[in-house]
Amino acid sequence: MEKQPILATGRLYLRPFDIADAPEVQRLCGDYAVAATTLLPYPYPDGLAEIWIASLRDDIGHGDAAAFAVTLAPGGSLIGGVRLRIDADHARGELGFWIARRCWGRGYATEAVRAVIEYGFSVLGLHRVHAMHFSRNPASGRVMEKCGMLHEGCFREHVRKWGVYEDVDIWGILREPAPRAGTYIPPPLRGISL
Amino acid sequence: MTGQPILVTDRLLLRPFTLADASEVQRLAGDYEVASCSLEIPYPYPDGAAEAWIATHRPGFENGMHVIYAVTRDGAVVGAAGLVEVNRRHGRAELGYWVARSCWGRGYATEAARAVIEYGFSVLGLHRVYAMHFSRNPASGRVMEKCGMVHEAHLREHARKWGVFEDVDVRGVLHDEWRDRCTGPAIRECRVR
Repeated sequence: MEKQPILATGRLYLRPFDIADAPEVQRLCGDYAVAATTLLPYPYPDGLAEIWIASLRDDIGHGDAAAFAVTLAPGGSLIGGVRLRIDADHARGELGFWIARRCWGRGYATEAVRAVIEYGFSVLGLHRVHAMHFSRNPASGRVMEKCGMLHEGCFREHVRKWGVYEDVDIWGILREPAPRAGTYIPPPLRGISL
Repeated sequence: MTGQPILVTDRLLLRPFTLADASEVQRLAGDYEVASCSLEIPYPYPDGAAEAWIATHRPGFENGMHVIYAVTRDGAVVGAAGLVEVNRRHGRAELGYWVARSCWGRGYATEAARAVIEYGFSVLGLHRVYAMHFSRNPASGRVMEKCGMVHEAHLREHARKWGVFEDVDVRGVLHDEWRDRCTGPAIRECRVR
């Protein structure tokens, strides 16, 4: 297995999750507002973060996933997570992400997601990355749009969240999108280090 | 638990596959035109693959993962139809089917798909059934439309088939829509064996 590198962007360091992150993952993902926009349970049960981080390690080892803890600086505090679930047969990855509520509205999700998409294409050799969000949470769709993803459809009542069937939007980006004339897109990655 | 029931429609009888069907599956699904329209079917169809596929049906049915039927007309296999990716947590499943090339254009796919959708809603208690097809194969989309499925998404280059990235369309139908739109009975008779 290949060791997962650290990705540096303008403001963020994306590093592998460590079992020591578990209490902070539980605290941040245990926020109702974060849980409501994801498939996370609420309240967040004791022990789940440890299980999740351990399962990530297995999935990464098998080439089924890539996952990054989003931090503000080397050694800095955890503010979110980004994960790719990889389907090697079809060279595609499904993106998922969350950001701690106190850090919303600052463009961190977009910055982190762009870095992971770039990692998926240039390091993992993916052909396509797609992502889904609850239709009632358009802010997540705006992150995807800012990352260059195109809206591809809406799966009606596709997911049951806390007993309610909810619509889900799907967005996708291909490895070589047609460049949009006149727009300068800064490189998503400042550096990759092992 | 009870076994997988037989579903009878106007012209077709849907029954579980048995290992005795393997050579016929290999011959019919091994047709290039049939294989090229399906995400999963390999070409050429390898010896033993049909037996291996059929062997997954019963355990998958028993643990609630899928329900797969041989579609027969007057005793002869004309295709397959089923629900896969059955997800109890989200109350949904994915519809899949193929029909032997010699039987195309007779509405068998629609008739078999309707029976399987009805099974998903009435017997499994699903909330949603969805299906995918290659965008280059609009005939399959028409089958889904005739089953009351609504176009929901166009996934660009979502699936790699024989080394080529292909666009995929997704359609879906919800239980209440199915009840509202269903004109005739999708299943004439459901025989628990």
